[in-house]
Amino acid sequence: MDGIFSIFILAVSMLVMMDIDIAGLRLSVLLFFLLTAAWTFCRAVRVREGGGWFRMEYRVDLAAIILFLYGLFSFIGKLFQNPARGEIRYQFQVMLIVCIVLYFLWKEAQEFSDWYFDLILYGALIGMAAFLFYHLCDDRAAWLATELLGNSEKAASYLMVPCLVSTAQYCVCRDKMRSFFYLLTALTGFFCLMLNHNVVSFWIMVMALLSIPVIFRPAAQLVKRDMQLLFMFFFLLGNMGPLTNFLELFREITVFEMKYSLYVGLMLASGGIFFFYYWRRIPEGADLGKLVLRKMGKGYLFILKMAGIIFAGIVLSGNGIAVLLAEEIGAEPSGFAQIFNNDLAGMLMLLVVIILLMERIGKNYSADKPTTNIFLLMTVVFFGQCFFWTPSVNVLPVYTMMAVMAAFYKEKNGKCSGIKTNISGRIKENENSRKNINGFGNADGNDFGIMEYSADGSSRGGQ
Amino acid sequence: MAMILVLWNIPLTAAAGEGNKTAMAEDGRFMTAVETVEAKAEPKRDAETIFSFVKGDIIFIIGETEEGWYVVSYQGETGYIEKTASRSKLEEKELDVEALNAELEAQEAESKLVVEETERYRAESRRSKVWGAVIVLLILGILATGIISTVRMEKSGRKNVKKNKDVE
Repeated sequence: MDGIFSIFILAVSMLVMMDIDIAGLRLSVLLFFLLTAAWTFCRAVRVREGGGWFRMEYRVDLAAIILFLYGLFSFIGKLFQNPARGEIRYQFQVMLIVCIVLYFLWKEAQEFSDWYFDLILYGALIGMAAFLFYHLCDDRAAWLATELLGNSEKAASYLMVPCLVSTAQYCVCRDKMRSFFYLLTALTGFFCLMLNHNVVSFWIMVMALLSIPVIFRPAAQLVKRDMQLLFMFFFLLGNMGPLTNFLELFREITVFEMKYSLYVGLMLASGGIFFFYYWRRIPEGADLGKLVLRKMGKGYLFILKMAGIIFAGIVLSGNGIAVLLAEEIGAEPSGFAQIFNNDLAGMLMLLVVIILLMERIGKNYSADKPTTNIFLLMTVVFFGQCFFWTPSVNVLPVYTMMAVMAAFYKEKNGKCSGIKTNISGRIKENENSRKNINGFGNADGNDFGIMEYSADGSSRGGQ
Repeated sequence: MAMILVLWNIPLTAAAGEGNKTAMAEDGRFMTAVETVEAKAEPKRDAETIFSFVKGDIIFIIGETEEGWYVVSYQGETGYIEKTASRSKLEEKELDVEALNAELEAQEAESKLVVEETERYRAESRRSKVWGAVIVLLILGILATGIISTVRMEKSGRKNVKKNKDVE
């Protein structure tokens, strides 16, 4: 039963993109509310039949309950507010209640199938089709996707969901045909992001791509696939300048400046030199799925930090080479700031919940939990984008699910047996005993480590 | 604009002139009306007035009759203006070739613009159709790949479970 409701909510979130007001609520919010209410009702029926109710296990649960009560009382207060004093807006309160209830429902629904990820992608593909039709053909799709097409920030928050899911899935998937599906979805998502022309979303996407080998165990296969996607992203970004300046391929699109295409091209070339210098050192015939590139992982972490510092510098200075980015950051109020301005107490409580949730996410993290790491990646991106804009309402349930699952999903940790090799590929040390991969790879100057997942780890991607 | 209208009429007026039985000398100049001048249907004083030119109008003289009448052309019709009576009313007009050229060019550019706009609209609609087909094929292709791979994997998963059971 839990699975059915999860499917419904995820499907609705990716498909309802019409910005229609019904009784002071958006269509998507109303649908989420109704579906969540139905799910809660079913859970209540199961409790009477002897099933489990919500468990209060962690501090974050208590904080969530307090936030829920605050949202409920605030909502009731809004209902009794004198309409003569102005328009009554209770969408925030309703969404808050729905998200907290979903938090408890998903927390209890511990079984997660990769089918949910696919469902998000299938829904998003239809959304992306509407987006592409609008930008490449005509505006007949405009009525269908008002939420998606009206605002570049909201569209970015929507488009980043399929981009991130497909990217992470592509990196960890081992089935060829399935990988092809994720690759195509990721490329379509990237192209949509380009058409959307939101510079902040480009940065977030690059950061997310760079963080994959940091969050996940940097196996050679994963790094290779991540690099393929990063290359494709930069390749698309670099070619959007010539495409929009010299060819009339698109119907309605902001023209990309040629100088940025040049910068991206130079960056891609110089990055490629460093990458291939390291990649050539991998011994021939090594199993890429089992070879861990520890130094490459550290390199990614370094690049990620550098990119973060540059990004912060641009945000703080507000000028430099990335004028567009600086302008865009100031243009839209951040999601946090918007809540802060409207509801100070609500924002403070929300912050407490987020901090406690992050603490739980940190405790649940392990480099060898691929599904949990996808949740983690999505959650970090979600909180990251809340600093720059208010995410689209229709993807909030997806992000809520990701955050809850990142904190509470009990995925089996991949165990491995390992052998360390030096850079020439010669076996230096053999460890026969099975040990946790977290302790793998001492800082003895070795570049590579060969790991071997246990059955549950290696079946990843097979689902 | 008036000049263009006059020039537009040249082939028509020439044809009309050929059909005229009254002997006339070939002409082809422009004159400006200083006062109101009437053009008759026939080179006779009591003939019907078919059109009258007001001050400032440009008149295209296509010939002269032996009886002393100007043969004029206006909007595809031929009329006659008495030479002696209208001497003070008409003035020789120098043809402003540059203005005429400019006007012709503007006209040409305008029609070119119309053609270009039509072409652009056609190209846009063609491009829209091509993109539409590409998008539909792409999305359907991706969806099909996803569904087929899921089904295939589920099948192989079931086979593995069966194999494991058989081994046990």
